[in-house]
Amino acid sequence: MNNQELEKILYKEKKEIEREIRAHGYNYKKVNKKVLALMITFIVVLSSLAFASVQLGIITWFVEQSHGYLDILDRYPASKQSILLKDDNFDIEVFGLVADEENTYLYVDMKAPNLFLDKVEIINSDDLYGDIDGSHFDDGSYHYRSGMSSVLENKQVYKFKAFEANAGEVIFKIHNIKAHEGETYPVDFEFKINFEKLRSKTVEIDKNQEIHLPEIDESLALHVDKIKFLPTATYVYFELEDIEGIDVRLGDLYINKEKLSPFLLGSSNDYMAFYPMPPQSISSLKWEIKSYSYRKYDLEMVPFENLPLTFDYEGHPITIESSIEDGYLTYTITDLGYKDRDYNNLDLDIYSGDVRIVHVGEWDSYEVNENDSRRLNDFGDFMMADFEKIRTKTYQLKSYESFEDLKKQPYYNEDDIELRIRHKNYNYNIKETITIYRNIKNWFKNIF
Amino acid sequence: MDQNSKLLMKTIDKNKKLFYKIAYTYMRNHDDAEDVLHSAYEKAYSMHNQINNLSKIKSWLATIVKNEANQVIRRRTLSKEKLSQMQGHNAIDDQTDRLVSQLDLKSALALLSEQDRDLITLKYLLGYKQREISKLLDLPLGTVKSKTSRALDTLREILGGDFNE
Repeated sequence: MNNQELEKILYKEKKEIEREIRAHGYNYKKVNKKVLALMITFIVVLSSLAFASVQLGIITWFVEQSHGYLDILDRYPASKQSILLKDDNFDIEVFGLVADEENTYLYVDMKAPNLFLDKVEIINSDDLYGDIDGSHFDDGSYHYRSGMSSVLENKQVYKFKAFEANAGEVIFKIHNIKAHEGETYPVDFEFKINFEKLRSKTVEIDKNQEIHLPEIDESLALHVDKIKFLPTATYVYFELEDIEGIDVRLGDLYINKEKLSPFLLGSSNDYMAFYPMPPQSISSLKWEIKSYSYRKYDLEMVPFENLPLTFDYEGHPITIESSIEDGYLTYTITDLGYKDRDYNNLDLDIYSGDVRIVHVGEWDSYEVNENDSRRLNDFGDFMMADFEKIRTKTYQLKSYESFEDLKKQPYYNEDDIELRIRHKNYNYNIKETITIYRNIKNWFKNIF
Repeated sequence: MDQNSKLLMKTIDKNKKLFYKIAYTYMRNHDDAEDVLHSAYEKAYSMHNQINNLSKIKSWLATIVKNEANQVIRRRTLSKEKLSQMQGHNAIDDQTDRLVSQLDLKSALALLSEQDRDLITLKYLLGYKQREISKLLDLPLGTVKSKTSRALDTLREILGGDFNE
């Protein structure tokens, strides 16, 4: 195997990863059914008076998150606990445990800043979970993984997968406490908490709504399957029709005109996770569509022998130039009519005969504004470009091999080189709210 | 809300898919990827007042995500070595043999040094340009090019000639 073959393998792996990510929603459902004991720490920034004075600098979703988790515990006072864990160095309080059919939240007050639980073992995990998937342990010694926490305040929520048992006793053992700076302190805290899973309610929606994308005159279906109202979260299960080349970005979801607040993490391709919301009835269910991208296949082959070359592409000129940069053959393609284009960028390749001679799917590009300033297109350019001012767009494609090596390759023929324009990529911002359902009355009375 | 907080929030919101993709590409597991993201976002938030170049906030976040993923991979590798030592085996040889015998690309990547894994993952699995990788890893562009080539050689050696796609 040579490096070029390995690059092809890596390219296939890249595509496989992308496929996995696309398909993940369905996989994740299967994972959910397993009795995994994956634990994720959630920081909860509690709004103490002291903290309130510095709230102005807090990111909205951290605040929402902290309040959301606190509200959950407040909503179920019977879930509150007060278990004190103390040794010479630490003084910790476990102040609640909320369990339902999807999640288990353990509330811990570290009583000091910048500390979090590092290794938490559930001693009676066999009773609560049955078989455990070993891949979800850090070290194979039955310590549940805990994520790191930045611990901005002292109180935290640790999230576990739901127990299989509906009620019972969970025996926790804390092995380590870790400081945010990295030090680990061994401790030996063991404690028991009784739990009873709280009730939840699943409402079947089973409604389709068509999303029309006027710019490309395409429609795709959004199917809202069901909403699961749990004490720990609200899950909206849906399926967005997958059309090759179209990626729609969903925005805010409203129930009864009230915007649901999404968890920062925890959503999937086929459901979105929100902070718990137990309505008494649903008068309407609306979803915002924020934007979409569209990749249009549009193969155009431009053979060339002598460079520079200017050719017409859809009514506007594009130039191709070549140079040797760091020993590599570099093609510079400038879209001189970019300011009049309707697309955001092109996907380009350079072929010699049937062999691609530039890196797969990789090019540098930059835009030139009307004041001649240049703007590189890389992921570090956080600020959005002012597209109105962009005059030209330039792409640079480098040969896979150095020019000296390339010339030795049997497939390289200077007289048989062509530029291939493969796709045109479009991004559209839309602000459309679609109504999924109206007037579901009295379904939710006394759910929780 | 201060400017750094606003930008951090916007950057995460706007690039959730990108950061998920980075985490997933390293971890190849949804739960692990979310775990990594959670840690990364928390860490980013805890340091948001230290951001001094707002135009680089996206690459700064991407670096945090990548580092968190590497940390989990490193911790797991060390844990496995420790476990093997406890069982009286030569952990590294054992692990290497096992992984190589599987001829699995993911396992082979885990055997690379952290920097080599970054170079291969960022360039080939995530499709970043070498110039972007240079910024992310804070390495000169020439170094990225030469080290990527060497990392590719190392990966090829680990996989051996009989790697089956």
